[in-house]
Amino acid sequence: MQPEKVRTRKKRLQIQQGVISVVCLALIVFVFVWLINTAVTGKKNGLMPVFGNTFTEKKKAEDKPEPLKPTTSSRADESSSLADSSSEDGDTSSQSVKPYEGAAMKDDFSDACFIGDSRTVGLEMNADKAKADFYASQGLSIDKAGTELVAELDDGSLGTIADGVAQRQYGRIFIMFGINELGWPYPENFVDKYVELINTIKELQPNADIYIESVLPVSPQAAQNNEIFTNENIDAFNAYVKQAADKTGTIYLDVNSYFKDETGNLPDDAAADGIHFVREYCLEWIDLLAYLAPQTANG
Amino acid sequence: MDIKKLLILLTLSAVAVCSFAACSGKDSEGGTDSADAANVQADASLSAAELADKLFSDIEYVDSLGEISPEMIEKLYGITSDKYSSAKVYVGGASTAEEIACFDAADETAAGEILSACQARIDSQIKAVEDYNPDELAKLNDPVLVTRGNSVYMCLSNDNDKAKEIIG
Repeated sequence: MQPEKVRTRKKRLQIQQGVISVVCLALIVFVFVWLINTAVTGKKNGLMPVFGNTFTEKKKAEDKPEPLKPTTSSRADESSSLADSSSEDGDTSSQSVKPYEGAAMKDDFSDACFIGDSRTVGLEMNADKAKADFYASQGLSIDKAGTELVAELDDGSLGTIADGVAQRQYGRIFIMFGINELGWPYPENFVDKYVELINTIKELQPNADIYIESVLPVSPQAAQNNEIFTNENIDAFNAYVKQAADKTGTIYLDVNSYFKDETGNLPDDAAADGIHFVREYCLEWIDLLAYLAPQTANG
Repeated sequence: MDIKKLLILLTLSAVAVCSFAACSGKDSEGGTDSADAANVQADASLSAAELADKLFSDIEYVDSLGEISPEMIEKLYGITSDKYSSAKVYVGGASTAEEIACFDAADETAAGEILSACQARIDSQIKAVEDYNPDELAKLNDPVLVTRGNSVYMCLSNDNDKAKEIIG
């Protein structure tokens, strides 16, 4: 009986050991398969280690071409060439790497100021250019741009755009108005007011390159809120924006065409309300500005 | 016996690898599993940045919010990075007033300054939208702005109940 008992116990022990061994082997196989799977797909699923700040910036394009350099002396030609190049890019913009992608990574815009309406406010919040000055306000239109107190001045008080601009000398000044003026019955008034503002800024900033940005496109959603917000209206209105640039000898930047998809609209995911760019598109916008209007000796 | 020892060693290694993976695999997408769901109420161990992530992932926003850098926090809020040990701010694209700002202040004085800065941010947003986009006034006039110890949490959304539940 005794040896038989011992044999039974040994047999049980062997079975137990066998079960444990199988479980261990299964676990080992699982871990190694999991490790291989993680190595292959980990980056895509966000499983790779993250170093440093969690704040993300757009990836720099490896093959960034030499930026275009518009000049005031040949602004008309330059603006048309910019428009041409944008049209060429526009055909494949949604599929291929954009030539301006990552251009803003090496440009802190510390020599720049931005003037405009709520779209420029969105750019301020999302373009990550803390060293640039922004004199912009939601709902601001060109008829109030000379009087409204939208600029936070160095002494903490509020002033007009001109007060803000007068605080220091800039290398580049970017201005965009027009989306709030689309419904104006007499767009010529817009041109007159715009010319007035630009000339005021030119007097304050004789050495700065002043860029007049075309009105950015909208997605079809914008027209649902107000039927005036169509790209047909914007395209027509941009002719008046260009007039203002031409009359003042400043540089017209056709940023509009860079953001249109194959249907001629701003993509639906570019703006929650069809008008104001989300962060991803603000980053693309600032890339485009860095590419089209790079920092010069003026800065 | 040797094989058994080897197996035990390998098993222990596998368990260790799994443990490391579990520790480092913080979900940056903010997805929730059943364990997360059970912890909707924030516990005190969550840092301000983690709480901001939770407010970001667990609440539905109209706009597409994005995290901003410490430099931009200083620019928009006037809060320098020496005032906090942990912070995260999410902003939208100016189509709404939706915003998240969470700070673990360096000390009590800094917490007071951060609270004032958040209130100033709300006031300036009220001014900005009152004529242009008055629909946004509802969330600005009834903001979730909470202090807990030296932490300050602000959440401007359409779901104050959820925000309060997360902040706890």
